[in-house]
Amino acid sequence: MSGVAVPPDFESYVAARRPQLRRTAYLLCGDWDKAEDVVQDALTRLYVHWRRASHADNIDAYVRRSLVNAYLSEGRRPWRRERATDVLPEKGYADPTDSSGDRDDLRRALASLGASQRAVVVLRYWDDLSVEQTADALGCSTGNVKSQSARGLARLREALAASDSADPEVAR
Amino acid sequence: MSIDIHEEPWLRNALGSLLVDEPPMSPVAVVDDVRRGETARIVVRRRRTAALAVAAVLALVAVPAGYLLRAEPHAATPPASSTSATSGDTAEVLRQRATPALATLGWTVVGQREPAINGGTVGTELDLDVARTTDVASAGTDGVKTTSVQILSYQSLTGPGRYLALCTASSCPSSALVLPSTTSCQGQPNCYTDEGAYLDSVDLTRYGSLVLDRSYESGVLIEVLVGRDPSFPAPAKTVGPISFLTPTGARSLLGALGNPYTDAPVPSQSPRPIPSPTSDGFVPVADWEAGVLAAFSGGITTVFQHADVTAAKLVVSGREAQGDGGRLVQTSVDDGSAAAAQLASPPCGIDDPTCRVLLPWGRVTTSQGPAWISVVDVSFTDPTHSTRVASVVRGDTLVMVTSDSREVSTDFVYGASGAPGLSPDIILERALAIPLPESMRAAAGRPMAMPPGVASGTGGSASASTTQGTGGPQTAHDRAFAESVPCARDQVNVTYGGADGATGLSIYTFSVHSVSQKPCGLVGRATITIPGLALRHAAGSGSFAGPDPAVVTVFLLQPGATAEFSATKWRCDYGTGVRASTFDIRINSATVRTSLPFDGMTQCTGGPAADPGNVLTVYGWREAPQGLVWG
Repeated sequence: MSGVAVPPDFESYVAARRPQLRRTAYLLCGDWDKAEDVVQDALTRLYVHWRRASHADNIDAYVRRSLVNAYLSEGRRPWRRERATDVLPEKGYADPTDSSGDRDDLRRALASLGASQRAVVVLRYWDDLSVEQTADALGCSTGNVKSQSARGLARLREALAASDSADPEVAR
Repeated sequence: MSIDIHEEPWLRNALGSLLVDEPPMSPVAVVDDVRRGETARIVVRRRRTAALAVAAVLALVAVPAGYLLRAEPHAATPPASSTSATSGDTAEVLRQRATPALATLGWTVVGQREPAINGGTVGTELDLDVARTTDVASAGTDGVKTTSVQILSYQSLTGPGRYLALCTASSCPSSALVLPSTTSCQGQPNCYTDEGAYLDSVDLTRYGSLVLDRSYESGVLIEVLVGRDPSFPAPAKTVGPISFLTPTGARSLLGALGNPYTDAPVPSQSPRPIPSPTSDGFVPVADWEAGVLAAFSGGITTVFQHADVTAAKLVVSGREAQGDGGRLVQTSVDDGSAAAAQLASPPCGIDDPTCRVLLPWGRVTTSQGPAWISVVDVSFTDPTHSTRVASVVRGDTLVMVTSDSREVSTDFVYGASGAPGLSPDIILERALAIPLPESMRAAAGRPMAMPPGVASGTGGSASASTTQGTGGPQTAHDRAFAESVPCARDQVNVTYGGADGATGLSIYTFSVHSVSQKPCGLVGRATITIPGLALRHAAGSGSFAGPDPAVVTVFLLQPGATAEFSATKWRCDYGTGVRASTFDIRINSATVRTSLPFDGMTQCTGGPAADPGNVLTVYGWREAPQGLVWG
């Protein structure tokens, strides 16, 4: 088998962490295709800097920072390119019988957040990061994380409350 | 909304609920991560080397920096004919050409994000942050409102020069040459057609994004993407009208990047010449894509994803027109770097309910030597479609052809379709017809890896069934495949195997030998007609002479393999009449052989109406012991 010289343990690290990174990226982007792009970007950077990153105290923190940076960069790109893949593009279809209204509400609420606010919410409440870890991932101060977190939650409550009031099942 | 987000623990659960539609991760995702990373590392190294070289030259000969950075706004040749390995240089050239053009339009480049290799091997991407020159002059570059310009340079596209205008989805001719207002695409998904890109996010068009597209006969596409940064949440904070979102401005910028812009109508593309393969079936790597397209006799009318001819793995995705609709087809050929990953498991994973084996790994002989083949059908969470995948392994190379069951439009929008993907025999035929590039000659010549799950000792045998290890049937998958590809007359050769007898019963054996390169099915019992004899026909249970008591009426005949069946008739106990010595045989409802001589059979006379001597009983198929020899 021909192949590239793989830095030791990169593959095993990626194999172990990729699913979770992808889920975090999805919660950040709200789109599985974009999430895949973001993860790929982050892992490409990780590969390039693997020798250094693999000796870091916390590789996960390094990858999270790359992931968030890739997400914020991706958000600035108005277009996404097609990429070579062995798997044909998969598109989901809405199931009319599925009671997914709550999820839709939450998706809309998340989408109403700014990119940074959304990142704070996802890292804090999905990845269970501390304020300090979140600040490290975002490259900002802990005070910024606290304020963004509070505002993000307030915004979510506001958006979800609005959807509640619009839902006859809840209003009844 | 019933999620109580006042208690934060609930928020985690709620976020987790959004993951219910998580699609499966590509089985080669990690391998691809490594490949992308390696490509990026090579580029970073070269850029560093180039930077050091430039610094050394500057130090030695003291060439004025202004000379080196001088732009060439109207160069006669496209700027980006480099490979991905030199994309850093390409990005620099693009930047040098774009900067003065933007300045002419009143914009100053205030930042540049790291040039990226898009998709790992596809092309060069340059992201520029630009601000109004007047704003920069008055407020400096810190905090100035910016917008972004992405310049992408792609190889291997052969379309003529043009730009693609925004237009509404309902009236978007691919040859549109008039750039309408920048707001006409608001809320319209897939608002333009583009051979190299497609609109992904409707929301972002609200910020005035557009794509400008140029491709050159030399095979380089330059694409400019302009978007106001969506992080600006309100119109009041945007940078205002963007001068290059106009036909004049856009053409000026585009022209600065390569050949002067032309408004000439888009000429119809002349078909690419079909490459002439070498005597052993390889084609020049530059012609590989044309070879793929030639393998699809119906024609791929829209290619969504072109091959990067420098890569070890080549992929082409396209839309194969079928009436008003079309099917998504994808082909890839790999030099072995990832083949191991593909071969690391049987066609379908163990207990994978989403995967159905239509043809288990089997061995065939091609013009390029022996190969392993398989066909599977993969279902998705969406029950309305599936994808069929044909795989051909030669040495260390892997060719995959996939066919999606859904309709796909020219602008890459899927539509539900109840029809299955291409039939297994067609998709397999194409996979076998796709040539290998010369660069993979060595990989193709390596010893064949045996797909796992293939019973040992069957190398060179007729079948590689993971469950039987023989050339015979008959899993449900084999049966389904056999029924879908019934043997044609010219795929089989029927012979008479001789007669035997015992206690009044005459047993006749007939053989059906595959002379085809492809598997095919024997569907239903054979029908034997003895000219001149009035015999009644009956169906026997089992195969009579075979070990399996179950009757087999559908038999998957692997290339070169032989199947048998028996027919029996009782002796004539009362009297004999006409004797015939030839028979006709029908298989799959078609007569495949006539007037074939055999030991002879006699009409019985003088007995009861139900004389068993006038009943010809035909039994089911069985595998011929000598059938496991490849031709």
